[in-house]
Amino acid sequence: MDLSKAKNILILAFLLLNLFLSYRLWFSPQPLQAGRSLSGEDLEKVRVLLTAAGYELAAPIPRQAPRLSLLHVYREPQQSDALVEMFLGADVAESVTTNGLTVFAKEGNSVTVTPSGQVVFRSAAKRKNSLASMEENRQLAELFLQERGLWREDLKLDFFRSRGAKGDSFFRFVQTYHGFPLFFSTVEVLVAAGQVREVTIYRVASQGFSSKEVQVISALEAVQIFVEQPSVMPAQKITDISLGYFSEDYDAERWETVPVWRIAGVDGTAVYINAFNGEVETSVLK
Amino acid sequence: MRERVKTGLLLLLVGISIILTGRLLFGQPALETALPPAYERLTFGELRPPTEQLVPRLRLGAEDAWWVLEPWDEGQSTAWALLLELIHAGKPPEGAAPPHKMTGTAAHAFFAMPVKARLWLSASLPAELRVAEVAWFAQEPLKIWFKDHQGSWLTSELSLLPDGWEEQFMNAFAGGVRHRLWSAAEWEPLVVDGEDKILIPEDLPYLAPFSIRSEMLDTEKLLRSIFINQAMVRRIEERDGAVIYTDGQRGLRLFPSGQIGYTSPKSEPGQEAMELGQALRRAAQYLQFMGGWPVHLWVDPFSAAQNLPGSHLQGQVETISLVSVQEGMRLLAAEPAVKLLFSDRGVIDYKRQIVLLDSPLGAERALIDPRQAVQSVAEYLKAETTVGRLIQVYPAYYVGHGTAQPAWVFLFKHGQTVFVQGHTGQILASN
Repeated sequence: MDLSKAKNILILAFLLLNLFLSYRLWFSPQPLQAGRSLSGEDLEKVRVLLTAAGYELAAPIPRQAPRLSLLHVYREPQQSDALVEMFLGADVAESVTTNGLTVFAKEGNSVTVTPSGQVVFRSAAKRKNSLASMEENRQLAELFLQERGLWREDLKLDFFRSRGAKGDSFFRFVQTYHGFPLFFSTVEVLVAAGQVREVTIYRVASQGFSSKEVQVISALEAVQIFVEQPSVMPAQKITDISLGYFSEDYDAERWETVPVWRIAGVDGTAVYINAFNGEVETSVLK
Repeated sequence: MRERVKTGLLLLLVGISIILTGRLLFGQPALETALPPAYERLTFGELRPPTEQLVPRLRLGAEDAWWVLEPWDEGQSTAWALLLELIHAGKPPEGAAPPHKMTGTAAHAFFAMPVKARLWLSASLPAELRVAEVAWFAQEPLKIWFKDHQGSWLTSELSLLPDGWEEQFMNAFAGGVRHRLWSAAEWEPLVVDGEDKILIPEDLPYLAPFSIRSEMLDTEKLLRSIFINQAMVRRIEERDGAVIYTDGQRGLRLFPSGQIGYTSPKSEPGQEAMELGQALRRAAQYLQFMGGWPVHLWVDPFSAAQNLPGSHLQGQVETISLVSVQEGMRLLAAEPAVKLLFSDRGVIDYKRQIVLLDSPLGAERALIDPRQAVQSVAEYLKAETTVGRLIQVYPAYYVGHGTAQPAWVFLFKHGQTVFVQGHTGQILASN
């Protein structure tokens, strides 16, 4: 076949194809921005707003306001049974208290399971004389979880503080999914006198995001909503402004969680602002 | 040279097509996220106008024998239209003494809640008059009596009674149920005020128990009607089988039993008081968006205490409860079929559990004489510290445990209610 003729046909074909594609692009909806970004001026506004409201900002302000969708989660069946075995071993008798709590006990240690699936382990181990640092206590906490198969790679340290005069340390690890913290899915560990005294676990499994994306509000808008609220957070020092997922405590098997902006204080209290519609999801939560 | 240009052009076109294809495939969000959510006006059924919401209960008779037409009875609309004809022809009303001395045949129209006269009665009536009862007495046929919401009476003079009016009016009651007035002594040891006329059907009703089924609403439509942007709505599957939908501002809970619960705390408190007509129109609009107002749902004249107006709680909040009437009987349960709490800012709380009579569970039998149940009701209420006086006794279906049981309803002042099984006299429940 004549090469020149073939080229003509191909030129014509691609010209028509490009016309068709251009037409589709032209008449299709204008692409939305993949997200919005705060300018330096906006970041300054955030600082001014918080200062005017009496807060001290000690956290970076996220610039990005991406498009996000709801996150599907579910409670793993039999999770609490497995946790009881991990903490206390096999063959543990259970007793049910009046509030719907199920309590398992063995050799002084106990595990309490709430109706919503939260599991609380309390240790009866004797106190040791310990002058461990916060970092050493953290390592102890993580080691404790790892030894019992409770440590997951998706956990990240979210909050810690020293409690009481004896230097007890409290750590909160939060579950993450695709880099987003699930603020409601946590592992909390209390280390006292060289021993893990208490572990509280509330964990969900993630099923993936829903297909419909929505542009979330920016950190600036979230802070504007936050400062308009009646004084809901006792802490005056803001240590975290971040985007993640939040859910209230439902007696449910599976549900969807919503993106939120969390504004957290130095004492661990936080306000969660729905990143879709700016509603305060719940006020102070520790 | 020409071939080189062609080659270059071809490569350029191939490159452009790759870029355009890439933009089409990856450069655009899905259509549903790119487009602003389209607001589709979804409604359920027709809008129920206020005049069809507040239909009075009619009574015609004398002494202790009365014909009663409930709002849903055949002939009620004819009788009410005839009474309205007189009202419209009347002169502006004037204050009067209560018609206690009137004897002979009388007709009464009782509203579930005091109606603003101008809403639909007559333009000649004072704008502020709220009518609880309309009365006509054969002894003075050229007068119409109005009892306002505070218990004061007014009369309106007529110049002439339309030709054949009285006969037509009497005939309209042929479809009603003949009742007898029982004296207070017959209800002892329950306390009855002489003012409260307790009328019982002269022929005891024949009823059969029924199996029931729940109303099946199009929940997808309901969701789209309530939540404009579905992308923001979370779905929560509760362990008891209920499913919650919420966008953080409003929550819709769908129970496996068919019950619907909706809350929107942001609509509370209301900012402006609504007059009755406005409130009724608002209620009808809300219901049209949230499942509709089927023809068998009525504002129950016997549940007036639960309804607007006068139910202004904190910050101008209105309540309206609806009862389902099937086979000529009210279907009553622990909760009304529909209960709507709303303000001028929107619906605050909405509960809907409408059941439908399915098939009879046995043959129709006459209900027992309600006097046979008086003792057991009195016994049942013995433990109650405050029992109001008995104000109504009427037949109905009591809905519970998957069936609709024929029942006698003993209604006491302040809304206390005792349900008695209509065939056995056993206490079924109380509210």
